[in-house]
Amino acid sequence: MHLEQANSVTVETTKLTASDYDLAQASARGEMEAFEVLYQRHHRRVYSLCLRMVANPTEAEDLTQDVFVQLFRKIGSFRGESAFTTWLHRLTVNQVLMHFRKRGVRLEQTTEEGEMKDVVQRGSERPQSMPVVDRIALDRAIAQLPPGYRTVFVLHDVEGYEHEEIGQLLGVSVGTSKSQLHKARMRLRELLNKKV
Amino acid sequence: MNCQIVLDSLSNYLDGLLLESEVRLIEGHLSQCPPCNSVKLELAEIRQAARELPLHTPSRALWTRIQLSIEAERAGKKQGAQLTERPGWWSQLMARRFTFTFPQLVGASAVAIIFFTFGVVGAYYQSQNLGRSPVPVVNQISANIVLPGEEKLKAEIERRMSMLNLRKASWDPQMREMFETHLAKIDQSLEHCRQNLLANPSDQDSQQRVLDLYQEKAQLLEDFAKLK
Repeated sequence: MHLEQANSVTVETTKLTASDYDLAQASARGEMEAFEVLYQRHHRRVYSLCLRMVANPTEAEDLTQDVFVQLFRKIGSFRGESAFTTWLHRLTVNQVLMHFRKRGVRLEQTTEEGEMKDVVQRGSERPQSMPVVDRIALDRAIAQLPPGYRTVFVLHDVEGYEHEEIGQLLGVSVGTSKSQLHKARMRLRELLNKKV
Repeated sequence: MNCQIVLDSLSNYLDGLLLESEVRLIEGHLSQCPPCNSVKLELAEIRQAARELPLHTPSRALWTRIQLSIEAERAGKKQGAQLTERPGWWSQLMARRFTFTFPQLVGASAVAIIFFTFGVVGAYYQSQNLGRSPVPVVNQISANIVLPGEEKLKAEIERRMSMLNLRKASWDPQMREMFETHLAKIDQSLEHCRQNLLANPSDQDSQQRVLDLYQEKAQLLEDFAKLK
């Protein structure tokens, strides 16, 4: 009895300390405990990425569920050539973009009013107008961006993608990606200044 | 270089995507133009803060939903494979031909009589003990595990549900569908966790998940009750 308990504790500990690659291999053999450890390790990053891109908690949960179900289907194809996190984030981004396509969200759109002018707001001439960006306020401001700006901003500034990769993922030119990013940052600055 | 050109190039400047000559021109302008320099500082802060955003946590029930979804998919696949690959054990058993010798038949009959006798005697003693011992009552209790605070949560859910039922008629079909879908998801997860709990009543994780799901259900009802 004690030996059985000790064995199960050892198995659990091994799983908790195992590498993502080993856990992926075990999951591919159908071991749900290994897949659960992978879920526990990565679900917050996946959910946060989904939430920032769709700006809706219910949709973000549904997408996270789709991502992990898809991950379980495809996990056998993970060969460990890239980092597991990179692979998983690419899978997540593709899932979100597919969701946008299904919903007919136009990512190339600019603002509700059309093109946005980069203007220097009154008061922003003072360097102390936005001394330290409040992370929670920034998160809220990101949710208020139009989908096109939001997607490029999240991919580039939050997730660290390059413009070339974003261009390929979204099917837009590098120039469009750069321009969307700049407009997103300017809009965020405006939204954050309104809060101050 | 005028302000508009500098403002348009600030993101590329901050991301290090400009040529050295362009960088010099922009830095020259920024050193003499406080408003543009202020915008540059603000954009740099946004850029920096974006890399340090906090992570969000989904509801605890999400893992149960994922597990259910995967299990359903695996069961579907297995069933499909069995249907296409080979006949089941029952049809294989029925397809076989059996031949027995006389001593084998006598031996099998003797074993059957012994089992039958033990079964009848055992059932008689059990029925005698039933009137005296409280064992079946214990079984009944373990089959209906009541967690601390569960009854209160259930009563609250029932109250909210009856209030909501009155208002549901005025909802548009899309909203009603959304509500029903969410409710069905929670109930499905709850059923799954309940089964896990019955299989292992002392599992604290299952106990916590059941309570979390009741709370999630109560929250859903409250959220929809607030909608006009």
